Amino acid sequence: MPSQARDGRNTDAAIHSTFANDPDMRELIELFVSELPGRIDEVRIAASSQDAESLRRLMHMLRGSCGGYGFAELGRLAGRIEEALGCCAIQTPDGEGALDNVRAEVHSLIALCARVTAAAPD
Amino acid sequence: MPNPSDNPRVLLIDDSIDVHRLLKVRLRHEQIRLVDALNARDGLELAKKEPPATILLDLDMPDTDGFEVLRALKEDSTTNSIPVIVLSAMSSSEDKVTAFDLGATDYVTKPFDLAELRARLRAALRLDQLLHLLADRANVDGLTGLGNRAHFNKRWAEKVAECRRHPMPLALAMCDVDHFKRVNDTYGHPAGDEVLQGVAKMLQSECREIDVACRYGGEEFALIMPATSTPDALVVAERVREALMRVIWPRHPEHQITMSIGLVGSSGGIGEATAANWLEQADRNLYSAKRDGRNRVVSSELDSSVRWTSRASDAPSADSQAKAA
Ligand SMILES: [Mg+2]
Repeated sequence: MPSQARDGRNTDAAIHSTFANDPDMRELIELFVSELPGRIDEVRIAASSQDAESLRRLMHMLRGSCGGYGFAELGRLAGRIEEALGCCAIQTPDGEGALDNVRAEVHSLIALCARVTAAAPD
Repeated sequence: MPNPSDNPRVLLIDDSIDVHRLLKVRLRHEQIRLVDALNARDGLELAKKEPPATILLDLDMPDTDGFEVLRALKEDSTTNSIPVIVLSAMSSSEDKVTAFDLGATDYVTKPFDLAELRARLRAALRLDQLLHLLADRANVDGLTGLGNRAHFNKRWAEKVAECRRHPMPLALAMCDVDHFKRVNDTYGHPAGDEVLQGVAKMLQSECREIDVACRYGGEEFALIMPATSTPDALVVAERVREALMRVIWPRHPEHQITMSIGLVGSSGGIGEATAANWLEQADRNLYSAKRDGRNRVVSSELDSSVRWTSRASDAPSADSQAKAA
């Protein structure tokens, strides 16, 4: 039974690349999606070990690449997290406070990534 | 059918493998060859080793700030004229201003709008082409299309330096049109220009692929013959001299044009000789050829034993131009 978000969107629904029907991109998207779980593991590890700088770099990479692979929403969220980490890290050198501020967004990013698929929409 | 290996090289410096994969596919149909560097150090090294036609440079990389790479590219004379398109996920106008102030040609924000990136890349490649055209123009003599004196000075200094590092034969012939002033005075300057153009054409058709023919100035031409011994260079010089004698000039078919040639060659060890005094020795032989009656080649082995006065500099000196007409 798929869960419903408060705004009525299906939060279990697969997220497709906007380029999923572009034959030039198919192979690339498959590669990108297949590597995504490994990256999300790195995100989890960075978040749980309070490593704000690694987390910031991971977000930076996702911000720069997701859009190009047709996952613009993911890229924008990663960008917001990167920026939040960038400005807060200055105030808290250990990065702990910074991580607290973005924890919720990191969780939603992880959840979004789990829904990403290389398949074309029906 | 165009050869893909003739396509201009575009160097992508970006720490994200995703961006490399993406652009490789997205720029597949552009007439370019994409070269990859995943960090700043490799990127700089590649750019210097074989300067590309355009560089796509990521600003945010873990090892070095992209601005540092841009600064290094612009400080190095082999890379400073390469157009650089900065790629960045940051779109603050401060970053853009810094990038342009440091010499970036363009700025594109990630994620890429592909049509825009392609258009901007093409514009950068056009700029590179124009810059090359300009640089070529600065080295070309407008009247004859041969390399000019600046070009000769550069090439000759390079060849002598090569010869010093790796001894091998090398010869230089200085060629001067005989009684050129008479052509101008008798038939007018357009006729004189035609003679200079004709000499240039003849030089190019008579010399070999490896030779470098330049207009040294006025009615004087220089012929650099790499990997050529003095006797072999003499054969080329004689062929050039005879070919000129055979030319029939439309404006003055009754008036034959000849030239005198001073040749100096070395079979290897150039000792104390520099580019400048080698040229002086060729000038002396040219003077002898003029004095002995013109329309002849005077040739000698390079005198590498004498310390010539102008050895402080490898560039040909101004006093080496004194010439008998
Ligand atoms: Mg980067």
